[in-house]
Formats: sequence, structure tokens, C-alpha cells
Amino acid sequence: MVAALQEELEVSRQRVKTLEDRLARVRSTPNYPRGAHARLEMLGDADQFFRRLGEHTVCGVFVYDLVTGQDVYVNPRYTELLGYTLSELEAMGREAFTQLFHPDDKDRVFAHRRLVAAQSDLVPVPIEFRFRHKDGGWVWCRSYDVAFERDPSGRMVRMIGSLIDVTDVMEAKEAQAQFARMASHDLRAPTRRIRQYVELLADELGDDLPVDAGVLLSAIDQQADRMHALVVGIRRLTGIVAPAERTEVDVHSVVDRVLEALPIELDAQIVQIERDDLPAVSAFPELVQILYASLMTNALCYGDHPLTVHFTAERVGGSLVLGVRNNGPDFPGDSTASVFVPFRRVRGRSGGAGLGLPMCKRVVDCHDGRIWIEREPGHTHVRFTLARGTA
Amino acid sequence: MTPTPEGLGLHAPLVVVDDSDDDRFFARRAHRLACLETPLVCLDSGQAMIAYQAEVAAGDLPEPLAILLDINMPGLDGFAAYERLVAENGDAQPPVWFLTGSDDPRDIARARGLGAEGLLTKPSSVRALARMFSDVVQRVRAR
Repeated sequence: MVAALQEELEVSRQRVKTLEDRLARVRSTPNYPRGAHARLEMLGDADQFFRRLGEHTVCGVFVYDLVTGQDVYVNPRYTELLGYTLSELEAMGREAFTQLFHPDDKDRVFAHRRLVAAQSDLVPVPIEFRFRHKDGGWVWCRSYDVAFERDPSGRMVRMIGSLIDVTDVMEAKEAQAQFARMASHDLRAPTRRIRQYVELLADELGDDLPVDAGVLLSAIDQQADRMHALVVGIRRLTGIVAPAERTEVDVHSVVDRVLEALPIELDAQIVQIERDDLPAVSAFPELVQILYASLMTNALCYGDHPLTVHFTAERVGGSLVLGVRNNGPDFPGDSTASVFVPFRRVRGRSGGAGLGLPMCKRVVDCHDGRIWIEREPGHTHVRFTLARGTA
Repeated sequence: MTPTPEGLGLHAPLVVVDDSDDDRFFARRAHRLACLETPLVCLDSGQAMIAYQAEVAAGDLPEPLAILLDINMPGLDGFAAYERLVAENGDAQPPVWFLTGSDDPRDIARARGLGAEGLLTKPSSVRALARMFSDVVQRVRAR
């Protein structure tokens, strides 16, 4: 009996010893607060710590509640960037808060929230939108948002976002786009007029002109024609912008329409078309049409004859990789990246304004996807994704 | 600017309003190529078109068969000129087509919204411009 008790006591002593050892190890860590007072202070500091975290963050931080349609937290930096304190935002109500988003951006903001809700909680989704500052001016914000809280059914009820002011960047971008639009617009008229003067000159003096002059005239006309193609190309390139929301796009029908639109080329050359099982994707329909039309034109321009064009679709990891593969010469070694830069045409090949692949890149960029070229002996395979992903 | 009537007789003329000297020059050549009975009047601004219509109202000049009105002009642009034309002539105004060198979808939408006949893109060939003139004349005459 005594022996049993003694044994139990020894076990207890050992336990105490183990606990004491553990405590000693914890105490000897460099950041452990000394004394009970210090530990209490640390607890009190937690609150202050989070407050300081909010205050010292470079981004404006907000927590948006989808149920009330209002922010339930904003940090001081948010107030600095957009003018409003949390109590001011709370006082204005859901409708007035919604009105603070630029009318042209509102649909995109709503669509974005749905996208955030559908994302895994650790993947921030970026968005750019205009928000009306308390002083009345528009502020371009870039915000990275993630789901913050979900209800038991998994539905997002709160979203947290970190935003920065990108007004200067967006204004510069817009000014650049506007310049391109204006330049391409204003260059159209002189280009058209050059062609009309050449036409009149050839029509009215054609018979009296020396043969050489006729050749020169047609050279001028060809150059004006090319200039016209460039000007139109710039305009089309700058005109590609992402619409507010994706819809379901049946790639199979898109390819059908592209092929229907190219009857003359298809008749003139013997083109064999092959397709994988082309799925429906969530995308911007008009842009996908432009993408496939450009890739088809590209294949017709650069492919070998007889031409085989293969519309590919493949699941790689979690991502859908689409593509257009044609037989044709290898791309020169260094040009796979530069072919996506406007006006750089592949060496030694003519035709086109050098805007086909840049347009494709633009379309893919609008979808947050990726585009690249895979070189295979005797084949070129342009591949792309239409969503953010790892492929 | 005084109108430059070319063989203005009793015929209702086709009126082209364009601030560009070059484009009015092409219009005259295209008109000659098209061999139309309809005479051509070229005006160089929206204001000149309003002034022309005032003289039409006074009975001093023949009523246009149709007006081809350039959109992009300094001063009174095509849209503003059209609105004034409608304000001053009501339903009695001649059919108007807007002319443009661009393919700006906003222009197309605005031209439709204003209730004009339509929007014609300036072709890059004088022969095509001649065909455009013939088409317009035929369409108006067919009414």
C-alpha cells in the first residue's frame, strides 16, 4: 500500500519536473515577458497591437459585409485615401454606399464579389474601380480581395480587401489609350487621301505616264494600303477591353463562326480542319471570337500548304489549355516572346500588320490568362488559357 | 462662304458638307465620274449649310435632294449642324446622311439616335465615292 502510494508520488513528482522543465524552456526564449506584470501588459497590448497594425498598414483595408451591404471595418489609411470614416460609411446606408462606385464600374464590382466568393479563401482577387472620394473626386483603386467569413453553408458573408490608390497609373493608361485612338483616327484621313490622289493620278494620266511612273504609283498605293492596315490595327488593338462580366462561350460554335467568315481563303487553299472536343468556357464572347479569328488568319498567313489547322483543347492540371496548331515553319529561335509585341513581324514573312498575335495577347490578358507558343518540328502550336491558373 | 453650285438648274442638288479641301475635291471628281443629272453643291462648314438652307427657305436656292454631312468639323460639327437643321426646318428638311472617316461606334450610335438616314464611311477610292453618290441619289429618287 505504502509502496504503491510512494510510486504514485514519484510519478507525480516526475510530471511536475517535466512541466517545470518545459516552463523553464519557454521562459528562456528571448521574447518571453518577464514577470506576471509583463505578461498582463502583453495581453493588454494585443488590442493595441492590432490597432497599430491597422494604422501602419500601407494599404487601405476594409471588411465588407455582404448581408448589410456595408463596410464593417476600415483602417485609418482607408479614410486617408477615400475620405470616409467607418461611422460615416455606416451612417449612409447600403444604397448610398453603392452609389459611391463609378456607374461604369458598378457591374464589374458586383461580378468581382461573386468571383471572390467562388475563390478559395487564400487567393486574393484583384480589381480596379473608381470610388467617389468624400471631396467629390474619383479615385481609381486597385484592391486585392478575399473571402473573410463564410456562413456554415460556405456562402461568403464578409470580404476583406486591401486597396491602393492607382489614379495616376490609370490616368496615364487612359491618356495613352486616348492618344492611340486619336492618332489612329487622325492618321486615317491622310492615308485615305493619299490613296485617292494616287487613284486619280493613275486614272487620269495613266496612259500618258511612263511605265516606271506607273510602277512607282502602285508602290505608293501599296504603302498607303499598308499604312491603312496599321492604323486600323492600332485602333482595333486599343479597342479591345474586357466587358463587365463573363458569360458561357461555346468554343466549338466560335470556331464554326470563324471558319464561316473565311470562305474565300478556305476555298483558295486546301485547308484541313481538325478539332478536339471543344468545351464551353466562361469568357468574354466577342473577345474569344477575335482571338480565334486572329489565330486562324495567322495560320493561313504563316502555315505551310496544304495547310492543316488543329483546334486543340486539353486539361493540364486544373486548367483548360486551348490552342491552334498548324503545320508550318518553326518560329525563329528568339521570336516566341517578341511575336506578341505589336508591329514585330516574323522575319522574312510578309502580309498582315504584325498585330494578330498582339491582339491575341490582349484578349488573353483581358481574361487574366496566359498565351505562349510551343514549337514542334514542322508545326507551330499557339496555346492559351482564359482564366488565372497555373498552366 | 458662298455655295459653289455646279450647273445648278432646276434640279435639286446633292449637297456635300465637308471642311476638308481635299475631300471636297474628291467629291467633285466622284460626282463627275458618277455622271449624275443631279448637280453637286459643296459647302465647307456646318454654318454654311445652315446659311444655304436659309436661302432655300427664302426661295433663292433649290431644295437639296440629299445632304451628306461630315461629322468631324471645327466649329459646328456634323451632329450640332444636324440638330440646328432639324430645329429650323422641322419635318421639311431634306434627307441627311452623316459622313465619317472613322469607324467609331459612338458616332454610329449617335447618328442613329439623331434620326438621320444613316452614317456613311468615306471610302478610300474616288470610284467607290462615285458609287456612293449614285446610291444615295437612287435611294432618294425611289421614294
